[in-house]
Amino acid sequence: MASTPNIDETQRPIENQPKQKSQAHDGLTVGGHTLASRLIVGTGKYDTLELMRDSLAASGSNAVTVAVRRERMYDRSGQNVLDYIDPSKYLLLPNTAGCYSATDAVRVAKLGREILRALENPGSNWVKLEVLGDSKTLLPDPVATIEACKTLVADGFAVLCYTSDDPIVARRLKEAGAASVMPAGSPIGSGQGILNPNNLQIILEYLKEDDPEYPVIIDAGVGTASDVSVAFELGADGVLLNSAIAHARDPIRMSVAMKYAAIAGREAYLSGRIPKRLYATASSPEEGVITSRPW
Amino acid sequence: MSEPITIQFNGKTLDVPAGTTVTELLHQAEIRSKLVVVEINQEIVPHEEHAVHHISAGDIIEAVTLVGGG
Repeated sequence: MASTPNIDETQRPIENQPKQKSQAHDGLTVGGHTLASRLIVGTGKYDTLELMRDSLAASGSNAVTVAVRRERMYDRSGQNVLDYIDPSKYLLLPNTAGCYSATDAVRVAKLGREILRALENPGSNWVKLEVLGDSKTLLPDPVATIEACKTLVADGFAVLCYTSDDPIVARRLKEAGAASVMPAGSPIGSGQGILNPNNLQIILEYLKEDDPEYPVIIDAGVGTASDVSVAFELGADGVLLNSAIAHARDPIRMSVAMKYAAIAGREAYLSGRIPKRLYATASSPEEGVITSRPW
Repeated sequence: MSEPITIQFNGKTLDVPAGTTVTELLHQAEIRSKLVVVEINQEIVPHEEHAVHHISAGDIIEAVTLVGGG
């Protein structure tokens, strides 16, 4: 009989099992919307809008982020991103990217809402809140983010809140009424993947403790497909990414990879992975072996 | 022709005839009004009011749309 070694409590395996059994291929419910795909993809940085359109389709995503910017004047040939996004296929999620104060973020969120209202896009009441603290790291300003979140929630917005992987800030944002807390895996556009899975796990534990359906979306930092799988294996409800697809050599193909990575990670999470062990466990039966052992 | 008034439109100084409406301003700038939201002095002017909202001298006007973003 194999004896189990005494494991020091500090050495205990990190638990990573779903608290509740959910259905496979279940949708992501966030901000009053249920999305069939758990991927939310960005629409920025593509070489052409045609490439963006085809990549969005290949990703299988149902919700896409967009930014709010000045319209160009006297530019009849000017293409608009909205000419390439079929509103019957995608929910538009406006962001407040580029805002460095709560006041600016609230202003931009309201502008985005008004555009979507005129387009009759059902996403009009939600926003991806992003209040940056620094243009080099694009890390969020936690104080301004919490302030803007409160203001927008009071104004009827469903706020999907970009934040760092700090569990305490994440908890504060949920308390502030965020429809989803969206911690970054690593800095925006860095492609470094998930740098601190332990913090993300603590965030998932804290925010879902008495509220297992509360959506936590990993936003930013994805570099390749395995990063998406890791996020879902940790128990994230969704992943939001842009650069990893848009700047891949073949964005359409990378979109396909991301789609399957999301399914793989989510299915693995729901399946309940085996614990990690230091030593091997034989897959073939011990009983009936005809050979002898050296030790 | 009425006297021109000076406004700021998307960061540029512009002279327009007094009495110009938001709809007329957008048309003149060749902007598709359905795809933009107009803000005057940081107050949103809803689409329904574009045709009846007259621009005043000194107004700071922004016409913003959605662009690709993450």
